[in-house]
Amino acid sequence: MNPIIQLNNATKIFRKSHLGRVKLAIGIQDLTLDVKKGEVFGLLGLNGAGKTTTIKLLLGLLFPTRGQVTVAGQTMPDLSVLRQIGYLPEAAYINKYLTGREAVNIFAKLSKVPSKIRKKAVGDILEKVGMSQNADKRIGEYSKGMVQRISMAQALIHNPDILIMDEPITGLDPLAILEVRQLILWLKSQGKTVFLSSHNISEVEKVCDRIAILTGGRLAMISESREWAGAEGKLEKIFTTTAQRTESIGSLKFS
Amino acid sequence: MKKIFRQNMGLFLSLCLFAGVLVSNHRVQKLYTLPFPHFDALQVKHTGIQDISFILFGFRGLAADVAWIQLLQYVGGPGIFDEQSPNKFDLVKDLTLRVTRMDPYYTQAYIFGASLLAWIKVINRPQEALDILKEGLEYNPRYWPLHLFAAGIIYKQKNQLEKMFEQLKIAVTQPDCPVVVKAMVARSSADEGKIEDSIAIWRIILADPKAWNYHSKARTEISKLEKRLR
Amino acid sequence: MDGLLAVIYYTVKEHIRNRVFLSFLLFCGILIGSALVISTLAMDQQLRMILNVGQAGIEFISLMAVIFITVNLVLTEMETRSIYLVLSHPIERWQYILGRYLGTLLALFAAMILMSGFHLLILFLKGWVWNNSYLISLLASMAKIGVIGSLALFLSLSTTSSASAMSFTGFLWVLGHFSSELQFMAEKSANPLMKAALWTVQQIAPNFSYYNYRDFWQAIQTPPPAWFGWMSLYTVCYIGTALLLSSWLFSRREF
Repeated sequence: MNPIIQLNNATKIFRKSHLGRVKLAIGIQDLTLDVKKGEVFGLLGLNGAGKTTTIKLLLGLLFPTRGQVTVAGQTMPDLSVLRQIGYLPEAAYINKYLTGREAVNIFAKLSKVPSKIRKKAVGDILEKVGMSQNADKRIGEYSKGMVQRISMAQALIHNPDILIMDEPITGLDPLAILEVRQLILWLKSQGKTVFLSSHNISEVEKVCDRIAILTGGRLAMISESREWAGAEGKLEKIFTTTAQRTESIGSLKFS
Repeated sequence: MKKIFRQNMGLFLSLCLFAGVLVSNHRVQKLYTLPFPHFDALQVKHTGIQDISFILFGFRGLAADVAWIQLLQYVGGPGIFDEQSPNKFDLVKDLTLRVTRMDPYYTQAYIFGASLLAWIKVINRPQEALDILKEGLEYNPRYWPLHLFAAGIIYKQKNQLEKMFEQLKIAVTQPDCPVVVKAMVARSSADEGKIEDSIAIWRIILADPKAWNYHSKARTEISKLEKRLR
Repeated sequence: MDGLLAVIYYTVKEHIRNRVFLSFLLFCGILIGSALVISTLAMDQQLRMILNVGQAGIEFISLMAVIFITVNLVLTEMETRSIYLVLSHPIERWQYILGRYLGTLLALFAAMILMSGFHLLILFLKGWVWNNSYLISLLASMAKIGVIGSLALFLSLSTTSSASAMSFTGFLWVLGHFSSELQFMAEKSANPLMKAALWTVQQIAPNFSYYNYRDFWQAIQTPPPAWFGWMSLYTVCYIGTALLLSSWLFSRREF
């Protein structure tokens, strides 16, 4: 099966200059990986490993310094591909002055949902994410969980083939985590491709078909679910032996 | 090459549009010159920073209004009708020109300043009054009351008071003649013994609802002048 | 087109529901109201003063609002990361810039019309007689706000902080009112280098004095009809240049 997402020696180097001094920082380096259609793919790594950089490259928010990023056969950044992508960020960054319904309607317009079906589609998706009763309140009045639901709605409103989720369960309560898990499994059952980043290993092992572990912007390993399925704590062990801190902080020494 | 062009299309298009800016700016300047004196003509001796700041922020009219209020405050102090006053109000011309050089179309300011200079005894500088009116006429040649006041001042200089008062009578019956000028002319008429003319002007003031702040003064003056007539 | 309209729509909603925006309106109302008190000092020039204070107040408040809002228009979305969600949808970057700019102008123009309505009410109560020049002055003031808004947007994308963008915009506002003096100085200058420098600055800086129709509508010679046409073209070209440059900068920006 042809990969729907491909990173080919993708490298992103950030250049920061301050008072004429230029500092280079590696986001990701020579990252090569494929994600197949219909697969749930997890990107694991510690803070600063390059997960968010990879996701931003997939969305065209960052441009690769070297190498190539391809989504649905198109080299990113490419606007036409974005119609097939739904993006669920770590924290839902939605304009607080809008109501939930207005926000989802705007994202439907941005995603080019035809005007004839837009109103119904917005109503349906708000119903599906359990927000139809609160849809006409301003987002500024919502709880974190409610904002996350609106964020889910905007990611799904245009029925995308690919879902990209950046740390989708960070900061959520256990019930909300369960709901996100259900959503991912439902998407998989619908034949959608899910690409998610996380450092919550126990959740990843419940939903992912394959994972990649990033360390210092480099691909450390790729592992398939058969390698950890049924063996509790196996993925955690794989992860802890593979991942290395790249930030200049030492480990805690309380043992 | 094609890729570079595509990536920088915004830059190329903006350069094209900027050519439009230059052409249209040239045409705008050719077709119309802003009808204001340049900064070097402004009366900046006392209040330069205030005036220039207002103009540079785009509020020329408001700057002239503030200067107008300051002119009124300057002449509004005690002594202007007191012939023994030590204050000779030397700054009236400068302060009037300060207003009118910021807003050369402030016709009432020319009339007010010139009237003060010409008909207030303690000031009595008819030549300066004419200078102000001359400048006013350069910018407002069609505003005939300026011609009228100028004629009145010239008659005064030639000591042809009858003719001067004839001119002033026409001027003060105009609805846009400043009430303060009407009051000045009324006083001047009384001083020259033209009591009936003075009463008539005070009555014009009394009949003008917009001159409400002069009504009390007008009533007092009318009663005083009527006693003099008896 | 749907994308552009969606951005315009949410920008307008964002502004009219923003307390800062509403406080600008309130402040202008107070300013116009206070003109009633201040103008009594002008004796029988009270009407003229109410007219001038009102028009200047509306423009000043709009200037403050356009600088503050436009400089932060994209920067705030970048800080709150809500821009990630918008740009992860299939919308061209120029559409985003144009939509944000037009949405802001629409909200501001609506506010200017509202403030002018209040101003006219006070003028009529004081016995003012309608003059078409008021309308032309208002339109000219709106055009000026449009030009300075486009420059503020461009500067917010090309400088490093919102404070510097606001300062530069304020400087351009002042320079724009000085440009006819610059032309005069260039004509008078004997030094060819100085002449060239002054001429260049005068050509590049926006010529804001020409938008102050309220200052010269009483002049013996008012501008011919063709002048208004050229002024309109000048305004469109200036705004277009600033917006194209903003879009170009924005299209190269990574998030």
